Amino acid sequence: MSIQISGVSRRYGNHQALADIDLRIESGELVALLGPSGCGKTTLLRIIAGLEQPDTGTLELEGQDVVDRHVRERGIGFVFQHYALFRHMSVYENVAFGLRVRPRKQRLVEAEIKRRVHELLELVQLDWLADRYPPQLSGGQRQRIALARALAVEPRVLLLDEPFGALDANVRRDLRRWLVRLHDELHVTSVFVTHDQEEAMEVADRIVVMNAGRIEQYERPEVVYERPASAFVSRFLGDVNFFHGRILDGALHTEAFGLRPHEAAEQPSDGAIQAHVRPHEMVLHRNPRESSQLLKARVKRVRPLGAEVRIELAADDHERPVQAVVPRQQFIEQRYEVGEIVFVEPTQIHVFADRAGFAARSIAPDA
Amino acid sequence: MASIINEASVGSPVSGVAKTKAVADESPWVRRGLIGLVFVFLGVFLVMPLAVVLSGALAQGWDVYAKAVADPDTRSAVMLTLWVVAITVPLNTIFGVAAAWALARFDFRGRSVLTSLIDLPFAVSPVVVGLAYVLVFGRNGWLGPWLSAHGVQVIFAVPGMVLVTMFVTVPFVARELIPVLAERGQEEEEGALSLGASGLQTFFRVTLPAVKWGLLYGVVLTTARALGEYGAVSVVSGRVPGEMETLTLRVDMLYQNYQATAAFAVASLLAVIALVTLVLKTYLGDRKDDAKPA
Repeated sequence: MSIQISGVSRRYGNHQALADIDLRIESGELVALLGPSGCGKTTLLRIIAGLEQPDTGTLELEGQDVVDRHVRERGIGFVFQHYALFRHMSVYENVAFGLRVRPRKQRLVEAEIKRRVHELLELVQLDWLADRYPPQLSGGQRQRIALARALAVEPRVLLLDEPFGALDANVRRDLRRWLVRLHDELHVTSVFVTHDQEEAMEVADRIVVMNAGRIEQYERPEVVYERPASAFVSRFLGDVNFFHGRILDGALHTEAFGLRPHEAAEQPSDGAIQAHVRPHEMVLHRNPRESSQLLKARVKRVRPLGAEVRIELAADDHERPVQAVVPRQQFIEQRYEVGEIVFVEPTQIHVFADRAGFAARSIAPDA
Repeated sequence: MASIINEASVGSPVSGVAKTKAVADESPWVRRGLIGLVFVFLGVFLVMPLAVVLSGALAQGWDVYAKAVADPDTRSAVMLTLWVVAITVPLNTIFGVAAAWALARFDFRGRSVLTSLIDLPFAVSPVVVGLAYVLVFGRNGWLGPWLSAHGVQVIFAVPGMVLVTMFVTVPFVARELIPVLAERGQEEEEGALSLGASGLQTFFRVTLPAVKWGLLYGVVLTTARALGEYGAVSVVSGRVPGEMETLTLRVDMLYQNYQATAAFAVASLLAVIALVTLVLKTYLGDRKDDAKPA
C-alpha cells in the first residue's frame, strides 16, 4: 500500500519536530528514515502509525486520507524499539493478541487462530518458543516475536522503530539481512527508523535522510552515498575530509588542492564552498605531481580495519587530521610508515555551498 | 535475564534490602549487635503488645472470650466495619487507578500539586480530618443546612464514616501504582492499540494484568488502614453503641467501661485481621517484585 505524506508539520512547544514534510512511499517498498537523534524521524513514523497527530498536513494510505483515523483502524503493524511485548502473556498469546481482540463478528475460531499463530512463529523461525514468556527470550528472539505479532493482523504497512537498536552487533547484522529476505517474501510496504547509516544502506530500497525536522534527500542508497544532496547528507553517510574553498570562473579553488576544473552544480553567490572528500577517495603518492597540486602531509597513525587500512595524516596548514583509507593489499605493497611524507590526491570531490557554520552545527565535530 | 533486586518505588518497605553483600565488612560483633537490637526493639514494641492482647483476651477462658465476641453490639460493630470497608475500598481502588493513570501518563499543569495532594492524608491527623468533615457536613456546617433540607444525614451516620475513611485511605492504591505504571511505560499499550484493541480491551488485557500485583498490594494496605481507622471515625460517628460503632470504637468503648477482657477480645479480632494482612502483604510484595521487568 502506498503512503503519501503532504505538508506534515509537528511542533512540541518550541521544538519544530517536523517542518512541512512531503514524502511518497510506493507500495511494497522498504524505506529507511535515517537521521541523527532529534531529527524527527520517529515522530514521522508515529504520525504514519497514528500514534501522534500532525499539526498540519495530510496523510494518505492507498489514496485514502487517514489523518482522522484511529491507530487501530489504519491497518498498520508497528514494531516498537523495545518490542513492547506483553510480559504477562506467553509468546503464543502475544502473537494471537491481534486476532483475539477483533470484534466478535470478525473473530476467527480458536483452531484457525492456532493455525495462524504457528504459521507466523514458523515464519520467524521461533515456533519452539510458543510457551515461553518474553522475559525468558533473548533480544533477537523478542524482536522477531514482535515482528510476528505485528504481522498477525495482516498489516498493509509495517512500521519499525529502531528495530535493531538494542541488539548486539552480530545479532543486529544477522537480523537485518533476515528482515530483507522476509520483506522480499512478504512484500508489505515497510518503513523503518534508524540512526545507523550502514543499516539503512544495507536494508532499504530507498533512504529518507532527515535533519532538524526536514528531509535532506530521498533516494536509493547508492545515489545518497555517491551524490549526496547536501553537506549534511555527505557527512552523515560516512567519514569525510572537508576543506573550505571557492568556486571561481568554473574552477574549484581550495588551499589543499589548488585550482581544479569543476562543473559547478551548485554555484553559491559569493563562491564560498565546502569540498568533501571521502577517505577511500584519497590516493596517496610518494612524489608530487607536476600537473596538479597535491596535499603534502605526514603519516601520523596507521590503523588496520580488516579489509582496509586507515591512515591518519597531518597536513601543515590544515588544523584537523586528514583521513585516508586504502585497501589492505595496497598497504602491504606500499608499506606506508608513520612519519613519512606523502602527497594526497582526491579522486572525487563533492562540492556544497558553504552556509556559515552549517556543518559545524548540524553534526558533532569528528576527530 | 536476572531479575532486578533493588527497586526505587515508593511505599514498599519490605523489599529492596535483599541479597546485597556488604562491601565494607563490619566486624561480626557489630553485625550481631545491630541485628539483636532490631529484634529486641521489634519484640518489645510490636510483638509483645500483640501477644498481650491475645493473652488478655483469653485470660478468663474461652467462654468469656466467645461471649464478648458474640455480644450483639460487637457483632453489629463487625458488620458496620465490614460495610465501611466494602464501600471504601472499591471506591478508593477506582479513584487510585484513575489518579495513578493520570499522574503517570499525562504531563499537565498542576501535576506536582496533585501528587502532593494525594499524600495529604499521610500528613493530616485523622482527628483533624474528622473535625473538618463535621465543619463541612455537620448540622451547622457549610453544607449541613442544604443536606438536612434534603433529608441526608452525613455526620453521626454511616456516610460520614465512609467519607472520612476514604479520605484517610486515599493514597495507598495510587502510591503503589504510580511507580509501576511509570516504569512500564506506554509502549505495551500503544502496541495493543496498534494491534486493533479498543481502549477497554487494552486496559483490561494489557494494563491491568501488568500492574495487578501492585494494585492488590495497594488494596490490601487500603483495607488494613480502613479497618484500623480510629481518630477520624470517632469524631464523625456519634458513638451510639450497637449502631454507630466500628470495631476500633468498640474496643475503646469497652475499655473505657472497665471491660478489659471484652476489649481485648474484640481487639484480638483486629489483631488477627492485621496478621492476615501482613501475610498477604508480604506475599503480594514478593509477587510484585517478581513481576518486574527483567
